[in-house]
Amino acid sequence: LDKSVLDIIISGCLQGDSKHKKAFYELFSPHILSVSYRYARNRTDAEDIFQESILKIFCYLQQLNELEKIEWWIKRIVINEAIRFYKKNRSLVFVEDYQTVNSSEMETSDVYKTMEVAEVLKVIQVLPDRMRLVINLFSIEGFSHEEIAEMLGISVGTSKSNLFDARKKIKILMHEKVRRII
Amino acid sequence: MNHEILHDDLDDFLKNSFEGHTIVPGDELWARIEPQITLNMVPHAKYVRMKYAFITAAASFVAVVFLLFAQNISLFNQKNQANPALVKNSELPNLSTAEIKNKDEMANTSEKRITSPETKSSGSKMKEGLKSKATLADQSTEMATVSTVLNQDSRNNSGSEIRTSESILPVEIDPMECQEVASTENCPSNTSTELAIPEKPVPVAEKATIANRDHRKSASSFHFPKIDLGSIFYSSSRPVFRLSGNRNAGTFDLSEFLKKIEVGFNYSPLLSSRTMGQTPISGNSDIDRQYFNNIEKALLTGSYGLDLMYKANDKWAFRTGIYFSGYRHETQNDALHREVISPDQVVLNTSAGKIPVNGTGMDQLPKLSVFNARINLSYLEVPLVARYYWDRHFFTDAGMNYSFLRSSKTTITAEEYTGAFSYSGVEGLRKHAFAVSLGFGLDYKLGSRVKFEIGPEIKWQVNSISANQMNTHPLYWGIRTGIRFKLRTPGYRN
Repeated sequence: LDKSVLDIIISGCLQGDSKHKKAFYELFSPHILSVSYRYARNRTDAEDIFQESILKIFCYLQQLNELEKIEWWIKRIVINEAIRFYKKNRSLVFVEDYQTVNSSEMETSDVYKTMEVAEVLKVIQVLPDRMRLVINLFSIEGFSHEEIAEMLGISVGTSKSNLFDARKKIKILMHEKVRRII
Repeated sequence: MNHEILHDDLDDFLKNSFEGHTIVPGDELWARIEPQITLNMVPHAKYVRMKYAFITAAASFVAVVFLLFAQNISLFNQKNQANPALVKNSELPNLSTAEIKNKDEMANTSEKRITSPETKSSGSKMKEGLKSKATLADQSTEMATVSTVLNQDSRNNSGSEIRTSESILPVEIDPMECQEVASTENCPSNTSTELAIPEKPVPVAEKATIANRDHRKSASSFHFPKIDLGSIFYSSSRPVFRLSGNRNAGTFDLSEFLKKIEVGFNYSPLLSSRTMGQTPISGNSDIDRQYFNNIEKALLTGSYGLDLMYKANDKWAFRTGIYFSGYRHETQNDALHREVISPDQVVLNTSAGKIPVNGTGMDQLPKLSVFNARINLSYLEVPLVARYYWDRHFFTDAGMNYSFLRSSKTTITAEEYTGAFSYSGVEGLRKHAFAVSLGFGLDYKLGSRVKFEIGPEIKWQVNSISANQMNTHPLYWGIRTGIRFKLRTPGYRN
């Protein structure tokens, strides 16, 4: 993304110009919504996280100093908003009891080839909140367990065990989905 | 059968799956979000830095002016006062020290002959005056000043005069003695100096003795430049700041300087437009000349700020200050050249500079378009103007102005594009602008220390507004108004 163009758009946003706000929204909203979906249980939650994130991004846009890091800056806002959303709705967490799936006939490479992104997204969404957050933060965003523990307010051990459980469940769910497709 | 996906593989799989993944939101989401958007009013970092820089500069300026003024008041309050230590010493009983006796002997054996009827007749007083209870440090401070005075006078080959507040003491000094004990720079050729010592005669011979002592001590030492605050206590007229330990060096009369300073505020409503060079378009530009610069519209702008004027004499004065100023103009039916530098870098070449327009809708314009533009530039300006007074009221101003570009905003409206488009990221705008100005005016005295001025002014920017191929020079003309205050210098008999 051209820095000068981005500078123009952001300057317009800061001046309250609606066209520039729309341009900014159209530029970054697809990425923001994708991240929101990964951290949410369903579409409704994803859109709530998305909406709150967009509002915060515009609210704090003037504090953005380095245009080169805008994508990471935006992603951090979405992640923080998702964590805030998770903490706010902690009492509503419902952990499903997944059935053990026998996928002994499936090769790993076959699973990878068969799965679409949308299906992977659905697999992640059905994970319990804490597991979903940890697998997102560790495997996709690249945070360390120490950082995750600090962000979520849990211990490093809890983060590790949640990651282990999340991986295990993902594998089971992926194999199950692939078997259904086949 | 391996039905277990390795952890690292899973992480990579997840990461790769969502790399660059996007989901386009529906329009209803934007409709829901847009009304709720509020911009936090925290200023952008670069504006915060600029704001603090300006505040710091302004505060420093005010502090310096205040300190100079306050110092002048405090110093002047002590004018015409004798050195308390000197007066005290002259009234003290006999308490001589061995050191002073030795100096007496040195004075007696020296070739210097100081003849003064009053001094000779008051020989005992001379000794009494120097036999002080004061510490050697006090004596040293006092005598150092006397030393300077005497050495200055000792350059005269014939008899000199040392003035007191009540009497004039003729003094004969052998110049050879001075040459022996003091360096040339410490023997200036001034003929006389005023000593503000009231009532009792100055013990000249003893001062000369001590002066010799101090000269011997300091003859080989290096004199750092300093402001000789002590000299003001011996001045019967007004404080004089010596910029060097060497009396021969130049002096800076602060009181006299402040007397000539006037501070004030100005506001100048101006119309601004631009002048164009003869060949505003370079050879490789695609801008169609027939559209170029069709209608130029001057817009109202202005400048305001702080004035600082130094009135050298009745005829000449010099003015500087710091102003906020602006430049605005509108161009109608101008030509616009869209240039595709790269797929992700589309710019509009305009007379206001190169405007990057990717993703703004303006990048869809035809290569050559007709547009209207309104340019707003904000500057921080520092003038340096010479003023010549034809008489007490009428004057002519001529000078230069330096301006620093603070911000820019340009609104562009193209016929093929619905609505206006404002941008502030114009490329190539010059940060530093230099202008020449000419003005005439009338000074009107509102009070003993307050003056009002008004008159026409014209200003033309020497360097072009931007570094692009357009040779654009802002032109300002309007009325300059201002009010000035003469600094008060307490105790100074104007």
